[in-house]
Amino acid sequence: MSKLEDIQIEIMQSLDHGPDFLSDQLFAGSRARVLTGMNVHANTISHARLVALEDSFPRTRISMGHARFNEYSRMYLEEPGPAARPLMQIGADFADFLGRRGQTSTWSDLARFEYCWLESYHAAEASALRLSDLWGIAPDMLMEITVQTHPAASIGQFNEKVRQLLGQEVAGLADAHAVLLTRPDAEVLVSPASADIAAIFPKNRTHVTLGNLLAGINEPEGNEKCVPPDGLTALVVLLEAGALTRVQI
Amino acid sequence: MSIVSALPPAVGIGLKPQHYAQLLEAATGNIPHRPAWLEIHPQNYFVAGGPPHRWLSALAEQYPLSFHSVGLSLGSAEGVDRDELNQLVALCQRYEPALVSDHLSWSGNQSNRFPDLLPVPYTQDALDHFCIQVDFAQDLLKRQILIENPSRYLAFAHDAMDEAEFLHLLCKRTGCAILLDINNIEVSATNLGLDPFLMIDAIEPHLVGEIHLAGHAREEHETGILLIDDHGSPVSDITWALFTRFTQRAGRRPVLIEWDTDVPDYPILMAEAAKAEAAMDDAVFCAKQGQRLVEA
Repeated sequence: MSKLEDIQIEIMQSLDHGPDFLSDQLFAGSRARVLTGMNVHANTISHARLVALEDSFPRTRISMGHARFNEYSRMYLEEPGPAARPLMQIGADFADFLGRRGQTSTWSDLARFEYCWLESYHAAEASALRLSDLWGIAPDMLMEITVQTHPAASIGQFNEKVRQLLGQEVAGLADAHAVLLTRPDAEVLVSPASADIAAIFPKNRTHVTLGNLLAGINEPEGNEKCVPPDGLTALVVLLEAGALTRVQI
Repeated sequence: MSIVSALPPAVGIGLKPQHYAQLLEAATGNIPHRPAWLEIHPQNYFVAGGPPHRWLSALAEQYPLSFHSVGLSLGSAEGVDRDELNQLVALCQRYEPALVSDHLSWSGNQSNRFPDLLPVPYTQDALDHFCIQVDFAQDLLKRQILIENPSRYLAFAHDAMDEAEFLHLLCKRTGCAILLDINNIEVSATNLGLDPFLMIDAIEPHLVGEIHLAGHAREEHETGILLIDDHGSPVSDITWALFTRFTQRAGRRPVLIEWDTDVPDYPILMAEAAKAEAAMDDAVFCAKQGQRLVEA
């Protein structure tokens, strides 16, 4: 182990576990002055991580109350994993953590929604396939068009209290089967989604034709050519929300 | 060694989301006070897309950009953070910034990332290691980078050289240049009991490719005054004096007003930028006249 490694291990241990890990030989000056300096670094690190969590989960923070959110954030940061992530992704496991800690599914679900929102916000750009793009295409050709989920689109089910909370901002969410997140243009859209929409939403960004997408929903056995009306409605909602992109084969 | 910079030797500001719209307006002359260039922390744009990239793309068409990285961890004993470096390379290819910089510091390792700029000992061992990492980063980025002098709260008991000597040797061996943060000079000097004017006089001007000006917080402890580099207030009087003293020797440079916390409204930020521009003009003019504006 090089001298530099020794020094850095000692600094990291003292930042993580306290001044008992800091020798008197490492830094110049009195012990009290050295600890004052180390405190600046410890506070900067702790503050940056806590603020990153606050910025990632503003609604969860309000719902939990700042003191409780801060308490659970500190516990979360003690877990193995979060400290190895860049600040932008530090909250990736926060929803699961709240769930494991036995917190109400409302808080963990709300945190899960907020992280999905953040992923949608930061997802890659792509042109959404809109209903207007399909005008003039013959019906049989329409069913052969290959699509995949837009990089910013996701769908999830959240508990009733979370839907009610989000429903104060978006009409129809409180009673929705699921919540659809899309970003067809600059901003993230949050929309209610029916069970039919959830059923035809393409999973894992796989390529699928519009025909096969619609075949995935409650068609009568042995009548695969028949497109149920609810399936078409669901497809129109997905297209209008910007949830799909066209794949050129 | 020469400094390869496409940044104008004028005053820029750090890009903040709350100023996105005003900066575009200023670029088209719809509102007064346009900065000469913009600086970003590339780590804020290490995402695939979304509104931040849309704004940055639009602003990059109007302003030269400087990328001031805070996460390469060049001083880490494990070596530069490869993930961060690869993302920085990709972002540079996307936006082609005029300058790229990071810090004389380290930020933990792969299993424990500390969002902070931790001090590097000024020893031969650390210098050798840091030079290897800067060489590696410059090779991958295919460009010269600038390294910023840190704000220090601690001095190592076994430091073998001062900060200026460490930086000068680093530049000589790697071909990198210095990003001189003058607020950091004041912070480090105060915290470590050094003379900030001697520190600034020790810096070789021809190695400096960019200057940072910022404010700091001041705390009084039983162990003495502690300055904290929080970038949350106007530039201090001492930092202005140090800036004038340096630019009298160095001439015009790209100068950044760095204000990252309690970010002020756009007009206040631009007033600080105008003050820096005027101070640089005065210093350069007086230097030509053979006058000294600031005595130690």
